Amino acid sequence: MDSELIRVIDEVRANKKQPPVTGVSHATRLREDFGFTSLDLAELTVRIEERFGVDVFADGLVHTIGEVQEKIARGRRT
Amino acid sequence: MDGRTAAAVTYAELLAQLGAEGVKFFPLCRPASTREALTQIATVVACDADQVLFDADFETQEVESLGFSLAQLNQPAGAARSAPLTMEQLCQRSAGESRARLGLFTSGSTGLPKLVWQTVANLARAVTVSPRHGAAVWALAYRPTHIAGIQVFLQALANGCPLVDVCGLERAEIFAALERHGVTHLSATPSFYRLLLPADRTLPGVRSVTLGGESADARLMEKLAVLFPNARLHNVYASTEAGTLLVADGEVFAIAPGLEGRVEIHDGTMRVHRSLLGEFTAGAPAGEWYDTGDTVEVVSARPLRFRIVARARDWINVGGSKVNPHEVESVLEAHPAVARARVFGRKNSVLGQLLCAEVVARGAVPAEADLREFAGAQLQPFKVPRMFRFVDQIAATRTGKLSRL
Repeated sequence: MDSELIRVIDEVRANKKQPPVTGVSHATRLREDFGFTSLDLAELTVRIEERFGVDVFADGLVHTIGEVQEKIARGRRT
Repeated sequence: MDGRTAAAVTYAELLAQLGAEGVKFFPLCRPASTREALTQIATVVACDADQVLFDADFETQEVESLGFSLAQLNQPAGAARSAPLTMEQLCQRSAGESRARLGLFTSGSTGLPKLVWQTVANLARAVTVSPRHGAAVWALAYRPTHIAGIQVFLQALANGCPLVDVCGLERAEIFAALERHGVTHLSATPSFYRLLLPADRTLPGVRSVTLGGESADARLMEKLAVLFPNARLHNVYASTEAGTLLVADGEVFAIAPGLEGRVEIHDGTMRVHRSLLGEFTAGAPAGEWYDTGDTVEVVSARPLRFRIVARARDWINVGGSKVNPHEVESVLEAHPAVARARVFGRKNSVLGQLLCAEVVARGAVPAEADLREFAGAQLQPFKVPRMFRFVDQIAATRTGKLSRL
């Protein structure tokens, strides 16, 4: 589990005055489990792009932490 | 006159230049200085010529994507009509009698700027000539290659007034220039005026303050009333496409006499009859009416008076919901720790645009979460900026307006 990614997610949460996430796995869903709205996801994608240089939503939606990590890994390889 | 150095060209010198044998000008002009720009424009006005004006800081790529090459710029051509003139004739030409045309680039909302041809007659629509106007001392706070700057120049030229260039100067230099030269008339963007605030002194010599180019808010107008205690405050609504259309005392606009029937409010936005538009070389609007896309709020129906809520180019589309950046900036600036805010959109693959804010803090830098909570209490969620950057200064575009891209 990429701790840098978790930190970015916690930033988004903190800005909403929500506590840091706990018990995260690959299957954790961004919307249902973190309670992220579209606005939150829009923000998340920009922060991830700033941190990792990858726009994870560029080819479509991602739903789980596992998918986000995969997009980042794939993006970094290219 | 250069506001920083006080180096000046007199009208007599200008007339002498214009009267010289075989006077030349640049049909495609990218002036390196304000003096060069104004001399060129005056030449064109005197000789009834056509000229396209490029900003000095257009990149090579920009020039080329507009269909020109760098090599074509600043190539001299002889004027078709010779121009020994009296000052009176030059004044009359500037007030609208000239058959010259200026090609200007729109400052644009999206994509490339468009080239629009404006006749001097159209540009001089707002020019007034009178002995009283002749006593004015004008400051030029706009770029001379843009419609606002050209209109100020024509007003000064038509009346033979001194013109002091303060465009691009530092705050202290601007105050010094305004005071030293006894400037009475000033027209500038709200962003320019904000540069002067907060002010540690007033400018009692200024009689007329005009705001143009961006929406002006009531709070700024209040502060300007203090900075310029003896001035009348006006808002001007103009665009490169249509020239000056409306002037307001304060914030509330009325349609100018002579333009009735050619400017109307339709579904909350302003429409302009095509007869008021300059000539587009490409991308001309179809139909009889040109929808400016500028949103207005009607204050009274008869007589028709309204406020400009936002210019079309200002709206930021966040996932289909349109945000007025001025509204958000006002809210942020009401926070005690915020001196100044600029709200803009940033491209985003989830929602199209993400709302961001640059903030100049007043004192200690506040926590982002606090600003979001503060804004969230007064605005719908999509109007709350999601990324904050704390800066020392707010970025401005080449027209002196806030950068919104």
